[in-house]
Amino acid sequence: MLYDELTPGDALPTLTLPPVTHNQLVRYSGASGDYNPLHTDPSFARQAGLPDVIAHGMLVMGMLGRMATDLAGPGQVRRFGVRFTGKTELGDIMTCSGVVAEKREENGERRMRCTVQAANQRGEVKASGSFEVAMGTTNDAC
Amino acid sequence: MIDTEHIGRTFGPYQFEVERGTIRALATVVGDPNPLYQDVAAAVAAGYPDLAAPPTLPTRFSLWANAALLAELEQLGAPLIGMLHGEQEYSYHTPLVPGDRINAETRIAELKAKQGSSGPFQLITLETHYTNQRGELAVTERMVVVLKG
Repeated sequence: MLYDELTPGDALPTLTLPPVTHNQLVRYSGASGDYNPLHTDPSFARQAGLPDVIAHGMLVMGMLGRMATDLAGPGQVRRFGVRFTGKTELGDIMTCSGVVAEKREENGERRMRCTVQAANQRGEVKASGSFEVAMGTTNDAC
Repeated sequence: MIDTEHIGRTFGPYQFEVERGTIRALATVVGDPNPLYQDVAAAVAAGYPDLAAPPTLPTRFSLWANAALLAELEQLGAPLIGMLHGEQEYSYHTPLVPGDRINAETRIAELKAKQGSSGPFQLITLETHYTNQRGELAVTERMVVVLKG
């Protein structure tokens, strides 16, 4: 199975998403309940000293979450954390990438920890962190 | 700025319900085509009791979506306009399932004063426990927010 095929240092499949749009940020505000006008109102954003609205950090974390759920499934994620390192702007084309960091056993599960990051088309990292997923039990045959 | 005497202060519990519509909308806007977030039959066939929960679903129940908690922090001195998300971390204990009624309790775990190039700022660490209707701990969350001005 996949767990046995991957070893620390291996890269996960990268994921490149369509450019971030204003419409998407309005929809993310509705879906997430975060109505901070910094994400939806250009005149408010300009008053705050920004050139335009910026994406919700959690939208970018949501993109990164797919690295974990594509690997192991939504019910298998045990931990997920990121640090936001830059503002994601309209038109940014985000690419999520990741690397296997560690394989170990915990609570009778075979766990895999991976580091991940999301960067735009200029390679500017907007969020980075790690997740841990369970990929079967310690009783699974190798 | 929030005075450090408020470290340890708790807020809530706040009540939320896990809804299919929220899961579908969040997955769609993030661009995730996984059918486990859209199609109940596909999720059940894969062993889930209902639609699966994406890892960032708890944000729907967290600070940015919680006007009552935002207002409480503002009363303590947080500048709502100058809040920036610094870090976000989840530990998952029991799956969130549509129909779950969630209690969220938030605690100020840490307050740190910092000096930046554009002036002083503060880092607030909030820890939230999300518990379901059976009293099971579902998710624990740790978020760091930058308070400027």
